[in-house]
Amino acid sequence: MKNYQSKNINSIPYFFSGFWYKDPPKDVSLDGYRIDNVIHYTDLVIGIYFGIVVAALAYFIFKYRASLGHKAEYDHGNSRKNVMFTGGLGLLVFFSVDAVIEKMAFKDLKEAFWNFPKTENVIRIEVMPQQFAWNFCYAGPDNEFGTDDDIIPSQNQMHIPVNTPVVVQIASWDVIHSFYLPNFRIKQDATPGMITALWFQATETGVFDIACAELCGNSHYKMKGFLTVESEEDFQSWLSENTPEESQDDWDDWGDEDEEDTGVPEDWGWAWKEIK
Amino acid sequence: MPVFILQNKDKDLSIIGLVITMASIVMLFGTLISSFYVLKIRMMGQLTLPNIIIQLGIANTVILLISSITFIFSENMFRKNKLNNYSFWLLMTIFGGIFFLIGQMYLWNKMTQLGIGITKGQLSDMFYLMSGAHGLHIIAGIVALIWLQSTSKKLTTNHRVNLVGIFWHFLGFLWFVLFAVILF
Amino acid sequence: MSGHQKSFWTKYIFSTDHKMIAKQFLWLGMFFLFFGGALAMLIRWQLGYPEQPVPLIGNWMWPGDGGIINPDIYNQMFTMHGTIMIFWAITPLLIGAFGNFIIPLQIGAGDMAFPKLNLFSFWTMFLASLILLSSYLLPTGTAAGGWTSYPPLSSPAGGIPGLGQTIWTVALIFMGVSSMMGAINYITTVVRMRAPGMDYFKMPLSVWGLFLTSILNAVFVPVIAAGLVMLLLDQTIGTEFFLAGRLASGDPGDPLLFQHVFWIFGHPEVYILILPVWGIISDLLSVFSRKPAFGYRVTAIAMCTVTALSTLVWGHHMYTTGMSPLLGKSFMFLTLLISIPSAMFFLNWLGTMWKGSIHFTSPMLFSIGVIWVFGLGGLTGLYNATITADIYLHDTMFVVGHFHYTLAASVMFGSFAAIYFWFPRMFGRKLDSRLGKIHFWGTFISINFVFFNMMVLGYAGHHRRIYNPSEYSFLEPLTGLNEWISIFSFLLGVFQVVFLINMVWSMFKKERSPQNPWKATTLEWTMDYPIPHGNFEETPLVHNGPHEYSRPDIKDRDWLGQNERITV
Repeated sequence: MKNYQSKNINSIPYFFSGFWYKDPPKDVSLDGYRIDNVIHYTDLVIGIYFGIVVAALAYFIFKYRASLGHKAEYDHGNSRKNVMFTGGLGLLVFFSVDAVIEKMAFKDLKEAFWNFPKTENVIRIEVMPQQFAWNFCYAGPDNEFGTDDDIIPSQNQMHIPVNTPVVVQIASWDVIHSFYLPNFRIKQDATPGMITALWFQATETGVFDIACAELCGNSHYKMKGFLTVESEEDFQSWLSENTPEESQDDWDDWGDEDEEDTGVPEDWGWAWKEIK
Repeated sequence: MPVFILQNKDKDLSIIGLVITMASIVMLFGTLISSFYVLKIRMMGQLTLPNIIIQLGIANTVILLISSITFIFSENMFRKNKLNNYSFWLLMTIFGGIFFLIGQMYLWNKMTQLGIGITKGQLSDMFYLMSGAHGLHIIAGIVALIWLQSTSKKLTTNHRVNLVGIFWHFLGFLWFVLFAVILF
Repeated sequence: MSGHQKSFWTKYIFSTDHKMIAKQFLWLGMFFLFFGGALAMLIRWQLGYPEQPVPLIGNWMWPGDGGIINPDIYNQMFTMHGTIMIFWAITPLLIGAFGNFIIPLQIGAGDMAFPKLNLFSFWTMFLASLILLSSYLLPTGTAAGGWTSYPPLSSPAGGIPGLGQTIWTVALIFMGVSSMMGAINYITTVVRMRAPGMDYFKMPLSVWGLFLTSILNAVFVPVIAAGLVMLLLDQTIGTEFFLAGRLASGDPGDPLLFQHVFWIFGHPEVYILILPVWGIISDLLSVFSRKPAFGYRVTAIAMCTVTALSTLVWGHHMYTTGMSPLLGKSFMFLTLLISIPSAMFFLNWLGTMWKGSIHFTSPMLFSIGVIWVFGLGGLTGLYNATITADIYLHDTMFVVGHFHYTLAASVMFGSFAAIYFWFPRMFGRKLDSRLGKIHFWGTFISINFVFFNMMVLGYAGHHRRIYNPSEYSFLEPLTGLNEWISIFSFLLGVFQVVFLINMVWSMFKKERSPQNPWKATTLEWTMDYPIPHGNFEETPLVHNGPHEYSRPDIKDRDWLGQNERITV
């Protein structure tokens, strides 16, 4: 009841706009286009192949319908020629679709998604989802995690600077969650007792949704965070606002409140795991 | 009414059915064994059992081995048509199976006393799970043996004896593998 | 089989006759198909009209919430929808009912190899159903961890209240035992009880599909059984196989271990469900094109290849868990390899229709429908096999749309085709073809609208298993589409009622079907209705392949039964 707005007025235009195609959320990442590209390439080729199948199907249905009164051809299709033909087409599909997609995917993984930035200028963030909120941790002035000066902003608030690579390490506090940024086309499971990682780079400022993509309990649907992409200066000032000394009051507030529920300690964080 | 029945239907069918069943059982225990290794790698640990437990386990393995041997004796006796001896060795096999189960219970008991009870750690729990699951199959095997014993007067061909024999030796071998997995 | 004394109990309830057991499985499957379908309607109501009272039944079902489905109930619904549809609707319908009915009849056997085992298989299944349904009586409700039931969510540590999750696990273990009994029976029957002359390459492709399914069942159901037993121990006596991190009291267990075990079974499982359909469709296309199945051997071998490959690709369900890059790449490559054999038998389906003489009966319409929906479902699998695309699409409605195309749409169309086709053998009457056409077109249009647009939703970022999509700003443009999908899914439900009416009405109508109404060649059409216990008066001798249609050397008719010799 609470979130429901009368949508009936909206639905008529949506009916037509949604009938064929919906744009994915706006891509604001450096490498998101790669995923869009591979999806679009797949769209195109399977569209062509499915089109051929449907055309053949329609033609056969029309041409060979029994009401024309002809007799079917007695052909088992077991001749070498036929087998070569289907096998050849199978290989053609494999090399024109699968092999190309595979090549694209491996290239993208090598160049982007699995190619973690090695430069000094990266923002490192630790993410620890819990039922049903996102906790974030920044290394703080000493650039080390798991120390006293770690910056832990209020829950569900993640800030990053624009045009800077961000490396995120994820581990879950309780059940399995999945860190999902639709606007960045990425997703990584958060599993308890295991650290996973991903990286991305924002190209535009704004506030974007963080969603949990893996079922994690009854409030899975509202396990929502906000990713604020801002300029370097804004980001630095936000960081200093959130350093432990200055934000002690806020911190205590949510810490106490949370203590009863899940007991996430105030100084959570793990030593940064080096990724090869 | 003439109904289509293959020659030797019963024999062939049962053996094929048994082979498929054993394949399923192998998959079941294969999964448990792989899980054991995965957990072992995951926690970079080792299941170190006290010597007394290992000795008990070896004793139980020997009991099961002996029961397999007594079964071979009973099969031989059946082939020589000495039904009384066959019955005797079959009974020995059943006792062997029951002794094995009692031995396993004792082993569990001893483990609990030594502080490696159930829920004291994943690897020892895997040991309980594997030996427990194996024990359930042993119970099924003992039921089959008892069934064989109860019909021993009526048997005319040896295919039922063969059938139960294959299963019983299989269970013995399975335990041998499980025990080896746990030890090494 | 000698038992011909027929009291009510031995004839209808504890029958060892494979045909009666098939009917029992059929009704069990139909019940759960509609049960799971009703759950789907409620899920769609919530997604189309979030947090509005359910019309008609809402106030009666959930008076405490004013007729609104609350998040707990919603999670329970999609969990039970998935579980029921996969394990309690499709499995009994295709494998239980048609596996039982077709295999002995088509290979010329008197009954299953182990009739009593068959009886136990059904009643174990029935017991499993009762266990599963009993969780509805719990005040805390049923399982709510999704049909995949990943721990730690499905462990007590996950916070799902009550015993629902435990009951789910127990029910599934029983269901697995039942499947294994069936598989042992089917494999033995096919290997050993084929009539003289019935070589492997003279078996109808339906039997091939069911045979391969049974092999996968026998090999991979024990795998999930082991995983479920471990999960059950986690849930009940407090072991920690699948708990890690903070949740583990001592050494860590491994939550991913369950996922691996689940998908080692789970990926073959989707082939377990689809293989019978491939087989049945290959046969039916041949019957109604009056033309031999194109490339019969190629189709059979391609199905075997897919079966083998299906055991090696489970990792593509787990790309986002952080698996090692090398492993991910291998899984992607192996997954893509499946498209070669799939493309081959798919082309053979079209080849069967090519230069045929196509009769548009109800089973044929549904078979053609399978070509369409399986084509789409199979091709869209490519996105999910691709690691990069899957990073974005994993756990979105795209996945939901994709697997509903392959599992729900293809398998349901296959089941409907099978029911329309073999109904005259089961009940002696044909289903009404006019209602059948209404059923086909209604189902075809609405099912495509629903599942295609689910993929559209997923591409637009809509993640799955969420109770209320309006929580997220990036999902706002999808509100209208969600609503329309719901409307079409209700329509889909309505057309299934047409089918149910057709089934019940046709069962009791006076007009009997002729013995071989479709002029099919396979052995199950060679005897009068009702088929007696023991099936064949005398052992059939098989002379021909299963698809001898339109032979030019026969003049008076266009088919030649498998047990007939050509007489000139």
